[in-house]
Amino acid sequence: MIKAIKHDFISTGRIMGVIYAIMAGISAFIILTKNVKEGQLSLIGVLILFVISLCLLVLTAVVVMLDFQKTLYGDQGYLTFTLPVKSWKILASKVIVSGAWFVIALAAILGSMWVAFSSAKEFFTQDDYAMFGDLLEMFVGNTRSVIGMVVTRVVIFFVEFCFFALVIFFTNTLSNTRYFQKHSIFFTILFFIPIFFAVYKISELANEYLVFSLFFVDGKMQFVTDNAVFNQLSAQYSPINISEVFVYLIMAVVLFMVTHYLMSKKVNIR
Amino acid sequence: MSDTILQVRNLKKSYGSHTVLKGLSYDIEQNKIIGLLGPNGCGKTSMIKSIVGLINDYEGEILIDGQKPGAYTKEQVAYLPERNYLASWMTPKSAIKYMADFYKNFNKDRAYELLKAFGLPENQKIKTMSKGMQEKVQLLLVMSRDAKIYILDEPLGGVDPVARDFIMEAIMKNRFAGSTILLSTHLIYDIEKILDGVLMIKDGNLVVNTKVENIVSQGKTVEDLFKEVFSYNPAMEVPYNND
Repeated sequence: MIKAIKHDFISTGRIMGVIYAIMAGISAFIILTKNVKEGQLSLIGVLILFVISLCLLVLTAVVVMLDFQKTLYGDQGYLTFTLPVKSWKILASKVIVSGAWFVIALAAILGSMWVAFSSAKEFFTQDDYAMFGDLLEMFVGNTRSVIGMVVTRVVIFFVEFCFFALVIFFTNTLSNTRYFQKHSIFFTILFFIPIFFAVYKISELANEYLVFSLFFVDGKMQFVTDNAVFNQLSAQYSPINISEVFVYLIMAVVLFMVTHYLMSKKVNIR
Repeated sequence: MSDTILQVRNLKKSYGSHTVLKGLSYDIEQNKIIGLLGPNGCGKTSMIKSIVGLINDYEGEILIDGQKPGAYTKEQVAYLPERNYLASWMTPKSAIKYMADFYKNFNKDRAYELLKAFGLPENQKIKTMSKGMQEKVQLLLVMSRDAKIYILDEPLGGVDPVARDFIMEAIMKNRFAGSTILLSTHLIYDIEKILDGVLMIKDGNLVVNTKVENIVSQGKTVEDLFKEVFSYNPAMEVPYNND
């Protein structure tokens, strides 16, 4: 599977590389504009950065979907499905690579925002930075807690993005079964919207009724399922709600199994 | 150990109400070259796709080297499809690296020898190559594998008559010792002299499964038999089978 992951990264990396180069160019232009140099980030600059960020996430989703369609159900599927690799490994490598690209996109967005805002020196005063530091210390605690929180957040984002990619893969695979195959891209988009919102609603409901939270108390991770403990700790520390992640994880497993079934039993490569 | 490398039993495949394979059964032995012949739409490609694992919802049984199609059999079968399956950004060099990464039986040295013999540039992108060049790249990738079965779907389709002999020679010279070749083509004359046996498919049925020596012993060529079988003759049913 490592080889499949490696080649998936090479394949998608070619397009993603171009997208990142363009995005980096535009971001650099905004950051280096006169206003920022003078210490202010213009409203237009902020708006453009926001649009770029949105574009990066949308383009990542588009690249992930088109790569999946092309390498599995297009002509390249003749190569992919005749490789001596189990079909679940092919699917798993696509999910992992897509999840990683989304995390990289998010990191790039946060990175460019940070560079932009910190370049506009007068945007935040020294007092603001001091206040951020105090808040971080108050809600998170020591450095170990901060690192633990960041790592946990990255893992959570990765799981959520893998799930998001699986929704795309499931709808694309369903669209490549016999009845929808002629207009597979159209049906992928058509199926994606209701499925995504249904899943979003389920996770929202689960969030309301389940208490699964993580706290970092003095650098140590604490898993909380009890309401009373949650209320007590959340008065002092910032919680990471993971009930949503559990729901995503369960649904991801179900989607993976259904997609794999459709992929290996119901889809005929054209 | 049995000499049979490919067993197909009662293979059926339908697309909705349209049945393309109507219960094919045959065995293919090791170290044979078998021609798979039939007009367009007769079910040749569906049969091949079922063997190589591109179609999974068929009825019946397929055993390759005693195993059902899966990761093991995909290592044993080298498949050349009719279409270009390489990504447009790939070059022959990156394609060789890709295949060597996945197939344990891929011979990199042989691939570079064939690349040279075919006169193909190492670093030219597939998308800028002619159809003939793309087919040669795919053929060299297939013939660089030490496979037990080579399944070649129209390997002579996009090449000029002069190059056909060269391509056939490359296939014969580079096949792994003891391997079997299943060759699907319309150009019967070009391959007739190398065939050990033929399978002819008509409307999803296997109508001929015989050795070439049996055809020759009746004073006919494979092409004669092909014309006989596929010309309109409602009275004729399964003229040769499993002898």
